[in-house]
Amino acid sequence: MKSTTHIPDSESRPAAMPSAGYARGAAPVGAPVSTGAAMEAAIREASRARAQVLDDMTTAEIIEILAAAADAWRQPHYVPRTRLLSLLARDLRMPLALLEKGVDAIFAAVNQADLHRMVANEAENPSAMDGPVEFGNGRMARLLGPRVIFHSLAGNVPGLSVPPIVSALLARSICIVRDSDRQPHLTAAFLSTLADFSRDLATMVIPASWRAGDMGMEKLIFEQAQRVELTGSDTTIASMVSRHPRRPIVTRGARVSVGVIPRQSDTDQWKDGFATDIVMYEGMGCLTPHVIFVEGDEKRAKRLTRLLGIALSRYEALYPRMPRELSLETRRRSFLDAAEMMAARDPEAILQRGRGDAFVVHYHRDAPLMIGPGLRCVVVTSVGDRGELLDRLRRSHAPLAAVGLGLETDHPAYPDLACTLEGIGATLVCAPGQMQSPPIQWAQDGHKRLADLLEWRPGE
Amino acid sequence: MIERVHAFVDATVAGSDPDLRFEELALQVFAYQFERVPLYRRFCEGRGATPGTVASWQEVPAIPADAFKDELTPPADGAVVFLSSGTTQGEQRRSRHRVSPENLQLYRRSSLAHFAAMAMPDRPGEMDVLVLGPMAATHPTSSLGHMFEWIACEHGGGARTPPFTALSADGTLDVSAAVAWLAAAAAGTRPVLILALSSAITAVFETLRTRRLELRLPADSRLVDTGGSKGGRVLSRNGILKAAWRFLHIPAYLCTSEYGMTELLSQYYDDALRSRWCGSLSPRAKVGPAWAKAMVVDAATLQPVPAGERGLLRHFDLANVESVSAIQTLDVGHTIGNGLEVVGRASMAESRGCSSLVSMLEAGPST
Repeated sequence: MKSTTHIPDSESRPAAMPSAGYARGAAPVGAPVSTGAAMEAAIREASRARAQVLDDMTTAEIIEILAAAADAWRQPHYVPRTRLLSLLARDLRMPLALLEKGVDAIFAAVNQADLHRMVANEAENPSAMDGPVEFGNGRMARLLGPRVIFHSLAGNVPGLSVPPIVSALLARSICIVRDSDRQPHLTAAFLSTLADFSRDLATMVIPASWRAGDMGMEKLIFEQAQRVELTGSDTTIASMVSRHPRRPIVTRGARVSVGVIPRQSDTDQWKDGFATDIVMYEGMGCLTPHVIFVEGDEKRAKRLTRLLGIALSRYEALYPRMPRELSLETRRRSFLDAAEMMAARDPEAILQRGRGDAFVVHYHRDAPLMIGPGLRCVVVTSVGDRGELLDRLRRSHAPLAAVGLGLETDHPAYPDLACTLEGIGATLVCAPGQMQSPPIQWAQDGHKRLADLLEWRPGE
Repeated sequence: MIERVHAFVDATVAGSDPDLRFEELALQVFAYQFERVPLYRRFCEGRGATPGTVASWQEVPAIPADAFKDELTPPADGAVVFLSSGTTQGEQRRSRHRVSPENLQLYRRSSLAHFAAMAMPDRPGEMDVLVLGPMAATHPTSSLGHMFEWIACEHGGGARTPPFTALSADGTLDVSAAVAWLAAAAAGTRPVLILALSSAITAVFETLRTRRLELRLPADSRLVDTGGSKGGRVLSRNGILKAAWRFLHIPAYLCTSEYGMTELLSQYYDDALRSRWCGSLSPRAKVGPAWAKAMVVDAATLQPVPAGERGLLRHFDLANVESVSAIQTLDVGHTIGNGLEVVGRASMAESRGCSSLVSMLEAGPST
């Protein structure tokens, strides 16, 4: 028996979408679960939906549904989208126009081509995801994810729940998602859309919310979940891990991203791309470049500093920066203080600041690779040669995440350099301007999202 | 210039009108420092500010407190260099405040005067002094150590009953000796003045609690602690007030918390005792002397925030006449009553403070 799958016309769909966060004529989907009893009920319901999906839905169908739901979210006038954007702008204190670009990028990643590619690249035998195949010695098994996965997510940038949900559903896993209190809306809103396409798939995702310190709920979820993944600050992660010392937990803590302009490349062509990456999500995520290394003569780095200043001025006019909470602004002030003093001390240092310090670009020859405050603050530094570049990258205070590589991909030097950067820990090497739009299969720690979940399961 | 500031301090302490108003003197001091401190001049020029363009003390560019980690002023004969205590970024990143002999005299004059106004308005007379913190003799580069030394000499019994110091040069706090001294003082009649790092007095309270000792110090005994939460466990403000009453019988109004930093030669104190002595019932707030002013600014814009709203503390201290008077801190606070409430340092700012002088707290009971 087929489960209820309904693929509407993506052109007409947005205008006809229900505006409430609930599926039509059914129990709420996407409303966060906050008590133990409700969680147990939600898991029972999700298990029923999972059984249905296991029986009836192929990977291709799941991909089609996920892509269709994501596509709805890219329609500019889709009512839930416009509502969500204003909530995000309020909660995250980010310009609405900037968040529109962000939401577009988040959902653009969920497209059929990339999802099929992820399955093809990461599943040992994609057809085994749709039903049991001979596993060896006449045994039959199916390639599936664990029954229940739990994700605890950070709240620094929006949309962190989307890739885990997508990979969990492809693996036919129930996915419990605990979003940060700072932005609880996107998961629920996306699930509501998903429920319009497939109620079973949406039911397999359980948004959870509970007060920090509610050990009962945490204990229940850790008992239910076969896999636990934590994303957030190192302190938050350490605190949660310490409560479950014997439990294997996948953790994704602080990482730093950088820009690199190799000597083979012109500096000018990358200024707008880096400016986009710096401004996007106000530099709050792990994919924002904190330091841009420019190989070659110092003049190149100084030129990029000035050009970045011009580009960021233009962005400031388009997307004015909104003040953030005191702790973040104080951290930013500390960065600016240090840059200002260095500029007063060292005539070679350059400090580009927007009106009212809207942005800060600081050129400093010997800048260490550290996570800066974000909030449109970036350091540009020069490196004499490749050896110095790699040496300074290796001395990073945090593991690398993305490298925005300012070099044309068809340049003969590109493959080697990209490979070298991945070799020292970069988990995403891409062009400037693309750093904040990672592909759906990208995981911050470089692991394969789907492959990490899939196992041969004889009983399913 | 230093004479003018001296004269201002003397006049305000005496309660007479100084020849120059704070504003006038502040602008003169700014012009003096602009000429005298090259790094500060470049900093001001970077902000497009010169003595010719600045019209009030609030407009004087405030140098980040971290700027003191570099040598702001050139070496001078007989100058003392005050170092901040070790910070989370290591020894090399300590603030360095060079103070000439003349400026040191001004520091002494100003710190004693404001201490007397805030912690001794009732003039309790000669006291026995317990120092649970640095002294100039053991910590010659500690500005707090110099101040504690001066206060102990000024308000203690001199050579007859010298102050008891429980913190050694290597940072070891002899808690047992401090408790024994307090027990002996409780048996006497002379009031006690305790000058303490907050972490050190916390260690003493914990030892008293462990030993189930509740002492009754003589009337008019008082506690002055330096606040802060670094360098070991520190009770909250209310915790210290409660413990002072329970373990030492010092009432809350005789407990005064100090707020200061190596980069500033003036201090702020809780006005609880002074306001009680004056008969007012204003909420407990940190109040500075007439020769130092503070404002609370927005961290993003550096513009003043509305009264009562949280922001970063910025100081203008005339006593810093030979270095830089306008200092922007990363301390978070807000205005309250006639003064400030210091909430603490922003979480991302570097942890620092005199409490990190204490490297080991010996709080174990010795039954």
